[in-house]
Amino acid sequence: MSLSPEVGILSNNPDSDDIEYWRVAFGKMNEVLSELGLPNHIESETLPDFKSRSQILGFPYGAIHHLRRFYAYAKNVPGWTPTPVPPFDEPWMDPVVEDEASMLESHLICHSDTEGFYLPIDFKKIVIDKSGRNRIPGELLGSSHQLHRELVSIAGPLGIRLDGDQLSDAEADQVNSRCDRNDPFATELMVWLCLFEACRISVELRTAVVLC
Amino acid sequence: MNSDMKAYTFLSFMTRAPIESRDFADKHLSIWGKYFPAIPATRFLDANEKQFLVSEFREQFYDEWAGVCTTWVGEKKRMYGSKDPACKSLHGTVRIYTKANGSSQTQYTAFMKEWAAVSVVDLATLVVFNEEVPEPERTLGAFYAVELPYGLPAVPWAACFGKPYIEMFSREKLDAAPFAVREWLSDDLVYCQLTENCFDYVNNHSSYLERQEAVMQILGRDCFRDAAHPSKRVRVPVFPGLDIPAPTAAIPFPPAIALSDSKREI
Repeated sequence: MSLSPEVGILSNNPDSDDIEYWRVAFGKMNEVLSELGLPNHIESETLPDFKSRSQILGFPYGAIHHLRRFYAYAKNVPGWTPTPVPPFDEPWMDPVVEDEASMLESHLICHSDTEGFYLPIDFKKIVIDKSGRNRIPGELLGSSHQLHRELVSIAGPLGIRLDGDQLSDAEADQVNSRCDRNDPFATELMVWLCLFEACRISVELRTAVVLC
Repeated sequence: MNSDMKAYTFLSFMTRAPIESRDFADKHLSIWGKYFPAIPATRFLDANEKQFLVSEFREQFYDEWAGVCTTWVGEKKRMYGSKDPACKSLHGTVRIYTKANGSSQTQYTAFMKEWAAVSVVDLATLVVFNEEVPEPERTLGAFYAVELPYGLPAVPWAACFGKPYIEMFSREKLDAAPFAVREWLSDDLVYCQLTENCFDYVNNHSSYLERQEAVMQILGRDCFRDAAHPSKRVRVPVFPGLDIPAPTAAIPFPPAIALSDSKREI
């Protein structure tokens, strides 16, 4: 199966069991946020129409590690010339990635790669439930604002042209077409656009990004 | 069920029909959408596990559907589906997995009957489980064509039996067995439901197993695999047109794993 960053988890008529399940999950996360003095997140059950401009809506579980590695190198290795993951390398085991992860700063890197949430609340420090009560699915809770900033920071090295922090429709089309060609960074671009669009919608509509 | 308790619905359809055609693809999505408009099968996965919208990449979807293994998912992963085509020695299989919803039982069974009839199944199964289940129920949860030559693991909560199974069990025994619901959909297809509620395996476990055993006794215990005696020979139907090699040895049930792990294979 594959990993998909979803937004509007309570919109589009989920059944009542689903609504109750997610309400409980958001309620537990809000408990942790309150304990840290952070604002709560109220997930809306009705949202205006929205659409991701990413043609690819989900990707193999391992693909996110390619983008994490790219981010770690772009941030930490001065003068780095972008290179794709060498064949047979495991990007999550790269020491540059491990060093960055150990700092617990990056919302892109310090997050579950199979589940979990990015909330539309602008907190810098990754939220962890230290009570041992497992109130955060995936253990690490990220901010879609912060993730958006991190994605913007690597747009240039990935060859993506932004207008400030905005991605034009034409450039989104261009990124989509690069994902579809034999671009050396097709995997990174695919994950980048998927996440960027999820964060854009998350921030605009105040809805959580949920990794499903 | 409380909100922390997850249960899952598994549907499997095994057929000798050419389900890899576009016609079957359209019919399948249409019938699913009719009964489950809130969890439509909107996306498909390509060979590299990338997700695309069926509505925007229809031709690519048909290509994938015609291929060896196709997987599709609902928005927010509210459902999963997969299809393997029939070949000369194997049934084609469609499997669907979704989080169970007690208020959707009518839709589950109505969908099952309609798609079973349209895809001319030899066998369709429907079970609802919670997170961890022992054998033989777990095998029923992910039942697919390669299991057929080894015999049925048990009677599922609901089944559509096609002609080969009707002939193997006999109409008389199918009519006599203590199913809660039995509906002859045609001369060659019968819908059989073990108990009233699809959550009975989860909520009324012991009475569910008693009913299941009573049904298997009437249909013929030799038609079902025996977890205690895995080498025991099991009666299987003849499937015309398929050259299914006889199993070289009876297979034991697969090693125990959590159902929550196996669901990712779907």
